[in-house]
Amino acid sequence: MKELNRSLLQRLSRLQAPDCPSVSVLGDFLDGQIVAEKRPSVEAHLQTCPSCVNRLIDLRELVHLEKEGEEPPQTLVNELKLLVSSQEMPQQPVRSVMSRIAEVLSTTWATVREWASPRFVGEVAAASAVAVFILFVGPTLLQRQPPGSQAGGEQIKALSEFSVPEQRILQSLSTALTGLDPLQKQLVSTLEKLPKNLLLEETRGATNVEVYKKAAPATVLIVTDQSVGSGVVISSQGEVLTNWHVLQGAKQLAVVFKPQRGVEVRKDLAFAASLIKRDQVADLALLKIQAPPQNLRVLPLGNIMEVEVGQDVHAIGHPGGEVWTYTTGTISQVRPGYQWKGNDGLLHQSRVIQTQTALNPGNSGGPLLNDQAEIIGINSFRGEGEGLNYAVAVDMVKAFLQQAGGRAAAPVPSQRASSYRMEPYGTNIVGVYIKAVAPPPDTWFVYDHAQKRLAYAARGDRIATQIDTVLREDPASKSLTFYFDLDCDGKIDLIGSDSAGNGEPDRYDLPQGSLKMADLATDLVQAFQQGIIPYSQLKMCR
Amino acid sequence: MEGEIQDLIRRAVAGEEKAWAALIEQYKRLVWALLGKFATLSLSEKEDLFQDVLVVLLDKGLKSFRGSTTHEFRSYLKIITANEAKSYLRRHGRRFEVLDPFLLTDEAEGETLSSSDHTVDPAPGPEELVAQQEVWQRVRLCLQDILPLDQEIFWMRERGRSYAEIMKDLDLRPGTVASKYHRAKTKIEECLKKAGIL
Repeated sequence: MKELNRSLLQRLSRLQAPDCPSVSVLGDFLDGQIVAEKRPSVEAHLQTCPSCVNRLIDLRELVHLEKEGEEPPQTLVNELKLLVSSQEMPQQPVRSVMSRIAEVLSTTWATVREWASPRFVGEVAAASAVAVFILFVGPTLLQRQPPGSQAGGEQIKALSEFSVPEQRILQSLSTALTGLDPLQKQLVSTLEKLPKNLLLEETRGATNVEVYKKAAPATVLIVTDQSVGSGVVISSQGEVLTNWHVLQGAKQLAVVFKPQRGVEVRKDLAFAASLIKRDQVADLALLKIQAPPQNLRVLPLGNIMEVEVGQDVHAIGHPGGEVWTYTTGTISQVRPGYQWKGNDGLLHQSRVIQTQTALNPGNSGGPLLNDQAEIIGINSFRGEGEGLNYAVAVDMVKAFLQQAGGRAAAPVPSQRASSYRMEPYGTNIVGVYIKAVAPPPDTWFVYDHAQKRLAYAARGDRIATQIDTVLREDPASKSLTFYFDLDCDGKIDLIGSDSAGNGEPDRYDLPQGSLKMADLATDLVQAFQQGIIPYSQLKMCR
Repeated sequence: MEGEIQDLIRRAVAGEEKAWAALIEQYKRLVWALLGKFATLSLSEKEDLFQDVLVVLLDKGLKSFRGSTTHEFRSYLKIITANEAKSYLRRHGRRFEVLDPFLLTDEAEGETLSSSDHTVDPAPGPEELVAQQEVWQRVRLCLQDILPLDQEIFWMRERGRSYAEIMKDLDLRPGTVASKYHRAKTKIEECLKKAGIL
């Protein structure tokens, strides 16, 4: 005999009649609670209704599971009980509690994984502190930050947004996280070695006064036998960041700290320093105070990804010898691959932050700060015109600190195409762009498939033809520099931009598949090794 | 009994810690066991979904529960749990493998949750509906001849319950379940043949 097939049975079990009794009637029937006069009609119905028979079986099964089902893990149950607290009602939909916690936790481990390599340890920024918080400062912070408190860094604010029951869940989760496996333990201990002040400082909403109070002691006056400039202390071992051009030609240099009160330049606050390394291209230099005083005030490096056009920024420096001058303004723009000719006669290039914050000679090498008094740039040069000031962006500073040696810059001007540079492109674009420095009119920068290297394309080559077409069809593009912009989809765009990096670059589509990300891998790796591209800037395509 | 569950729910919605804790204590095994019916879920997925179900319950579920009896509430929990699990598996492009496909078949949704086949019934056209109605009438007619208890045993067995479980659930004497099942199965097959389905 043919077997009864499952889908037939299922269909049968779902065929409902209009007169099917409700769940509560069926339930009463099951419990023997049904009123006597209804019983016969339910019985009669069950006789001919497979669907209701099955619903009855379901009800019985559910009762059975409720009583005798396996116990879920008790910790889970306890956490979920915390969803309701008599102290305070959750203000937001409760769904968001768990998703936010999940978010926080996933960020935690994503961030931790990112930090697994020691090279990133130095890059820990406050942005990741929510995650860090849960790992090892959680309970402390919760006590420090009652809900509704205005003070505190961004990470802290995010936490105080949690309602009391949410915080309790977080607490229990942070406790749960103490049972970590060995790898995680190691990561946590790495994190714990980081300067705690970076994570705990409550600087959110700091007024200008607070930024100044925090930053001035870490901002130093740099005096050389040639000139004066500014600098900022970035480590308790006495490492000081400044501009290369401040030190140019100097034989002797000293770092002078601000006295606790006033701005008198005192000899006893001056310390001899020596140059550790420099990057002429980005106009950066790192000094070390030979015998640094104790309890140095340091400023943390910020995160370029958090820099927004329009945000408030602060600068401290010594313009024209007016020591420890505080100025403030906003960010006008962030410009990648910006080139400028320095008074040092060198051609510089870097991502820069453009600000209308007043900067003058003497400000050079000083910190550009966000509201949290984190360094987001090193004030470097002034443009022609009112309120055009530029700071080398913090990601370039980080790259500089990571790279082993220094870089020399070419003297200005250099019309011959002699080198190419790779730089991280934008703040949200995956990949890098590659740019030819001052390409000669008849040659273009291109990837050579056969040689597996970057080269200049001669006229008539495929890419060159493309560019020629663009030039022919768009006469305005003649003044543009062209970039190759690598997208994650493997497509490469040709981008034209004027030499100053002004304006939104025009995009020209190259034929798909003419260049591939993978083809450039060798060169990219090389660029990383040379520190031209900070690895952390590059999100890898999946 | 009546109204007790409503009272508990009302207090939990109002933010009473004890009421919510009592609800969780009462129904935690049910939710956990229902998730256990989805054979393809890993333990950690079960744990996540367990939390999801309870969060959804507190967030929306309790407020929109319209019933008044524990049976209704259990059925309601079943639907929430099944929906969470199904949407999770669907989101991740995973197969449903349900130990008791009947239990977790959402009547309203009418979706096949079978592990053995994935055929989704196409919406019946008007003609099919008539045919279905006719078939349905014929099936009902012949089911009249089968004892309700036998029918119940038949379905329970088809849904994967062991004879011992059926015996226990229905409070039957040993040795009777198997014979009742086979009797019912034979009759139902005859019935379906008569109705032109087999």
